[in-house]
Amino acid sequence: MENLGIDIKLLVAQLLNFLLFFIIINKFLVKPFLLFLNQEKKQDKDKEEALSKIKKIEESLIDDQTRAKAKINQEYNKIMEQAKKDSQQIKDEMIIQAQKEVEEIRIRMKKQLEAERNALYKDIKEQITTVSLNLVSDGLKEALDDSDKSKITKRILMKLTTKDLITNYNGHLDE
Amino acid sequence: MRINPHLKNDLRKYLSDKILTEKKKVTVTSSYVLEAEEIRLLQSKFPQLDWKTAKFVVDPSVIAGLIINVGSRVINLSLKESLLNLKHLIYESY
Repeated sequence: MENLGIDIKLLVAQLLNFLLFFIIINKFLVKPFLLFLNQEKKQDKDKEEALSKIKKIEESLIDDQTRAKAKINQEYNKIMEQAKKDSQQIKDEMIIQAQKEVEEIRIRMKKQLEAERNALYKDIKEQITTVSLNLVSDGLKEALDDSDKSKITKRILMKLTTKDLITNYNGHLDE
Repeated sequence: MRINPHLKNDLRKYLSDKILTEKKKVTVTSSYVLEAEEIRLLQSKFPQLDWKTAKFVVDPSVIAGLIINVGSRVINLSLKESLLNLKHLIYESY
């Protein structure tokens, strides 16, 4: 070995030196670095998992939101439809009520008009009768002379019977 | 207040006589002066009435015919009454 130029002692020393260097490097540099890398990896994995979870939660929230929106829309539509129905019903009822009231008013007005017309008609008839009879009365007063009056009186007296007195004039006998 | 019985009787008799006279009192109202013939006809139609004290009154508003008042009773045979009856009849027919 010595002939080959290899110094055993130096070689052993170098080997020991290298071994020592390897042990030291391995212990104080490689292992913490690997640990750090593993930790980083784990952290990345955790982050990815968390991100995935967040995404899932977000998706779930979006789904929930969509469902809630759909439900709200459905409820809104339902309420609107119910409100429309109710308003239509109220409108119909109001129309029916109004029609009923109009009909009542019409009937009442018709009755009132009829009553007023009848009253007016009666009043006019009464006035015409009164005026006519006054005219007849005045006319008779002017037209009849004493001989005519005498004739009428005689005729009344001639036609008068006891029966007539009882039936026709009893009502005018004032006590 | 006490009233003398004699006075009371006299008053009662006077009033009953007066009532009796008034009850029998005949008043005939016509629109013209009645002729004797008409008065006779009237008396023949109502012989039960006291014609001796009868009063004859002229009222042009009667138009024609007669109104006989006997006491408080009225027998209306006038044309005016007939017209009034006609008026009532027309009113009632409405």
